Amino acid sequence: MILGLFVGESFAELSVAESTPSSRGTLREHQRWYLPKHGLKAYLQNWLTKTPHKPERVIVSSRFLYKLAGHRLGGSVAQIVTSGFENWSHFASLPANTRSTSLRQLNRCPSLSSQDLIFAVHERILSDGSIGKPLDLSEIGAIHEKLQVLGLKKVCLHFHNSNLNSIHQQQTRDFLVTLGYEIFEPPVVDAFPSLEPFTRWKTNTLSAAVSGTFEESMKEIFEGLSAQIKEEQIFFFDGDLRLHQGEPLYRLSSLFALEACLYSQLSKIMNTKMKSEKPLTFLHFGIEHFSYLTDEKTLTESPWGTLALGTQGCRDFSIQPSSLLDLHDDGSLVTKGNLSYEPGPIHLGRGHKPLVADLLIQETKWPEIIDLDEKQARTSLDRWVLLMQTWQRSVKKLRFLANLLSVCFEIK
Amino acid sequence: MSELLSAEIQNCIEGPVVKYGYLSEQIDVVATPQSGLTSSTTGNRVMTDTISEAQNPKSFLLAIEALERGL
Repeated sequence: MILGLFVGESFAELSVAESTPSSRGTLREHQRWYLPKHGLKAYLQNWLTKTPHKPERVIVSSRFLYKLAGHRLGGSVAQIVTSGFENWSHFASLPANTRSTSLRQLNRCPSLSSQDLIFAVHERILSDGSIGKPLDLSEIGAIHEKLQVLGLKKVCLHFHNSNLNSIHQQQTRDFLVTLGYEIFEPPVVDAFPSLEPFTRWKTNTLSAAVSGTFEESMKEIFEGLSAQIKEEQIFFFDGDLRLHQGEPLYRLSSLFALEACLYSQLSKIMNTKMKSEKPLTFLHFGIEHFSYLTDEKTLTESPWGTLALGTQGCRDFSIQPSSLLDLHDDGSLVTKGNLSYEPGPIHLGRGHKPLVADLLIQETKWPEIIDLDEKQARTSLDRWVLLMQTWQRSVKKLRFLANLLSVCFEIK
Repeated sequence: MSELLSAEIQNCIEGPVVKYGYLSEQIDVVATPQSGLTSSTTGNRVMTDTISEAQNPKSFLLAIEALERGL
């Protein structure tokens, strides 16, 4: 049997599927839980003691990165940068994606770089790939002295034109690896060879910044499943749906792999149903996330803007379940950017600010979906009603989703 | 806000779409001049299909994909 584990921002779910040839792909068990109520490790440990199913392998997908989006990252990551290009690291921290600059991105894209942790090196590779100024390793040695004082172990190498000639990058990497540093190098995306360097640098910095958190997340899963499953039987997908086991190179990409997997599987379901292989567009209206998926291969969109990671075409709607609601001066309801799903909607008992999710909960069977206990549901509802009464005193009529979603969607 | 959504839809979606997710039953896709969607014969509601997340949870689809890829 195989265990599929999805860890979202506030919810996690698992499924056990048969892997034997006779009943391959049959769903044997499915569980979903609210993470603030039941922690990941404890839930998994408890589940293993009760379930009659004993999976041998695990595939994991996580969206924990979105929980980090409101926080400043990169505080323990040093960058070694070609002299004269130090400011590009700050430029790289801005959302590069103007094609779909959603409020989600604009509101949730704090800088990934700290000026104090950027170290310039006087080397130069020219635009034809030739060496304009050779690297002097004594400069790297001097930076090593500073890194030791600061206690930094993660280092990003951002040398201009290193995609044309990586000799200086290689020399620096070899030098620092022998000193025990963890080195991160900008990815090259074959499908997008002319990608601007600052997008690659940003991706690299983000990769280094989330690497430690990814490791902690992996450890929690390993410990949760250790009674039944060995560490080497736990796998992840990268953005191209290649299996890996959490190696640093693939960690960032794996945090955006769910969409590629969904597109692949949803396409197969529809192709079987329609008996054709026409590319389709899927609108994903999940509990935590609204997006659309197409067959287009694109660069990954993230709360930090476009990343140098190839993936399945996926774009977030600018309105998300976690979009904050507010009352406009004219009495209409508006959204004011997106919050993290932590603490979440009022109806889930922890949030105090109204979200789009709260409106949807009113019309759906969420309590059934999320296993909210009666007392918690009643308290949350009281809080919501109180807020609505306050708002209703300000306006004669609240036209909830008319100002939000009516052009493209309507709520039944 | 609606204009922003419309622009996104016009850029990315052509023709029928398939909905997926626990909230998909609560949200209809509607064709309007701004949306750029093709209207079906059922008024202005775009012909859509829905895949139930309850029957096809994300974690299950992950497991199936992994099996298909040799795990």
